[in-house]
Amino acid sequence: MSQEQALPDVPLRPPDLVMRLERLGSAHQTRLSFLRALLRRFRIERWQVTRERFDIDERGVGVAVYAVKIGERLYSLIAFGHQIPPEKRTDRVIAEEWDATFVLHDGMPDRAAVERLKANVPLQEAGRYLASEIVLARANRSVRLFDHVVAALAEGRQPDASLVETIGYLMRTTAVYGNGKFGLADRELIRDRAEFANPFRAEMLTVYLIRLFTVDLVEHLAWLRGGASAALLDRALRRRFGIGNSTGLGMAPFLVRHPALLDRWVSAREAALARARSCDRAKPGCANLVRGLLGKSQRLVGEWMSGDPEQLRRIAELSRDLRKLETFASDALLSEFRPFDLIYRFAEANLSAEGQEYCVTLIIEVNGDLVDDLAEEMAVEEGESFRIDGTMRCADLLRMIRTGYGWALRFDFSHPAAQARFWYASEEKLEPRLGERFEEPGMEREQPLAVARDIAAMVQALLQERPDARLAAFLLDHPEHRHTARRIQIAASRAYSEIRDNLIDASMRPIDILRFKLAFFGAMRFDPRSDRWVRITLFQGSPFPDELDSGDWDLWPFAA
Amino acid sequence: MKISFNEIEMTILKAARGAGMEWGLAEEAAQAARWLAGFDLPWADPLLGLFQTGNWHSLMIGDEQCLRPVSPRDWLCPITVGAYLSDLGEKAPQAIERVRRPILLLPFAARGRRSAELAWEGARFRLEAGGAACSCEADGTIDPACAEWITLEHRTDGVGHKMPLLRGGSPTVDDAAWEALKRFEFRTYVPASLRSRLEGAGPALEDND
Repeated sequence: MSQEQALPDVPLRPPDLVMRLERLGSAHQTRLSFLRALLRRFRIERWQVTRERFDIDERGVGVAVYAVKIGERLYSLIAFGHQIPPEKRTDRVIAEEWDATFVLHDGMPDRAAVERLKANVPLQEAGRYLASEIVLARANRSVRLFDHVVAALAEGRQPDASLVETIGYLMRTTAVYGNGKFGLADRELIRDRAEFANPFRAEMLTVYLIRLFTVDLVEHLAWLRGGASAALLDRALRRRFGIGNSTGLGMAPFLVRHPALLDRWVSAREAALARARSCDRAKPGCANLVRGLLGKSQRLVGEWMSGDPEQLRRIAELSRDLRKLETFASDALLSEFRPFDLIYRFAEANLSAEGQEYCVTLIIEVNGDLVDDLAEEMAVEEGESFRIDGTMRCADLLRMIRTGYGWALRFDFSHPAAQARFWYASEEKLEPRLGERFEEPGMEREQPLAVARDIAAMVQALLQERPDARLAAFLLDHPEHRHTARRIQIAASRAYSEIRDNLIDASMRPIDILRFKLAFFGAMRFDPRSDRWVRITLFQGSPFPDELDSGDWDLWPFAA
Repeated sequence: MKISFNEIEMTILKAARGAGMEWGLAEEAAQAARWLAGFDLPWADPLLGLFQTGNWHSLMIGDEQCLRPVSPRDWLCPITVGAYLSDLGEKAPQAIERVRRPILLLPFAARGRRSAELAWEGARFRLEAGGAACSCEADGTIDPACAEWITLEHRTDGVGHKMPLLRGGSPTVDDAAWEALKRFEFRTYVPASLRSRLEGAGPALEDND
């Protein structure tokens, strides 16, 4: 045994680094991301997808049904195609019509169920659903690419590959709802099923099936138009169609409202990184793998388009970072002791935040055998951390704040800029929005998302209290601090439960939160449309259900 | 109508807030409703009654044995009392005087680590530790407007005849009660303005691409 092997494991990265907004807003997908884990399980358990019905006319109007067999269970995606006038096509939540609407159904729907769904699913939020429906979604066409692909195939040609690559999808989803919304099945109903135990897995499956529907749809429309001379999509090109997604503020409060879940997700990723960094020797062949991924990453980053100047700057920086990494991660380096720790530390010292987080993705990627189990542990039973322990003394709670919330006490809330914003829900669509506290009405209806400010206020109140007073008695007199007390106790044993920034600051960028969550889903090619609105691509390059069985698709996000 | 447990939780959270409760107590009310609905026990009516009276500020005094309102003619709010009992766990007092809609105390009493019995005149509930099972003996209504004297005792014997748990099936709610709860929920929403439409969720962009 050499002396160096007795070294302790590399510790997890500190939350003061990982949980800052700038860092969260630099996150990339990893092999723990939800759609990566979904496809691994899909392949291992040999889930079967069949097209049961495809009654769609030349305008794209009609119904399609896909069945998914998972073990003994059957699920179905029911897709409704619509024709909408261009002026009605908007990604915003205020939309009332979409090119296609979808529902993931528990089992196969009978005729009556299809009729009921046909009357509700196209209405989306305005419809009502039953516990037999698990996920509700809708999507809009990328008009440019969709029409081009149908026209080309109808004439027997393949579509322009560079246009496919630039846009990356035929349709983008603009909302994917689950967990009991509008009467859908509660998460409790499906979380005991192994296939849906992980959070958002049913939603990811739905999106994956929607992607399949979109390529089937263009081939079908081309055949209706071109008849026997119409072409099918070339297999390799077909995989370059992902599914788009357009995400606004609605997603941001989720992470603040689910601190224990946030901690679980980040803990899993950080544990994966620490395991890889603690690995003494890289496996044989790893140097080739790393070099291959770096080369492919260069191409992927080169194809990453954005209309946002800040994102473009960051992409250019990432491209430079990748070149630095390529130089550093030589064969010699990869044969050294703890090579991934050396690589990470190089990244930390030399690369941008975007580059460092991409490096995390690569390190995790090439150590699948060490980390893949973590991807199946992303769920958490939140009920267990709900109860407040009120037998604690006020002094103990203050100590917990000083230990876990030092970050929250550094903001000066007497400055208007430190609380320039407020989160609220709009009456119009019942969706989260961000307002200007000192310029717009409504701040008395603020949502409880200003964690740092609330912590600071609670500290002031606790300092007025007898140190040995019980928390229960304090909360009886100060119910306004009750939600904050709960967070503090949740955070005490969960280092990554809080976004360690001021979420109501004038300079706060909500897309940092969106990007982080979308990266955990497995999104790529983030294209911010504003500071609170982002477009992404999912599943681009991934195999289709009938391809999963053949070939090694493990590294599909890096295929180009 | 049929609704989901998630809808119950989210609507009660916001309705409680809309009625004027602090967020932390609104969270307690939401969890309580969800638990009650799981056993098909009343939740919409008692909560609505509570929101309509709008009185959860009655001051409470007590010692290790008993909690009571400071003013002997007041009635205590079951969410405030329940939260306090839940916070104290095994250190909670075993008797409470004068509580409105006492059925709303049940979910809080059920959170304990030991089996318990919650009783008031005319009704007696047995609760398994952690709240996974519940049984009930009642002479009349299980949801009286108020109870003068309530006891909460730890028990070592079993729960007895367990009430069925809905386990993921759809709870139902009276349409009128739901509408009334939704009106409280609506008080948490901010009416749209031109500015909020334009900026609140990000600028509108051309999406026909």
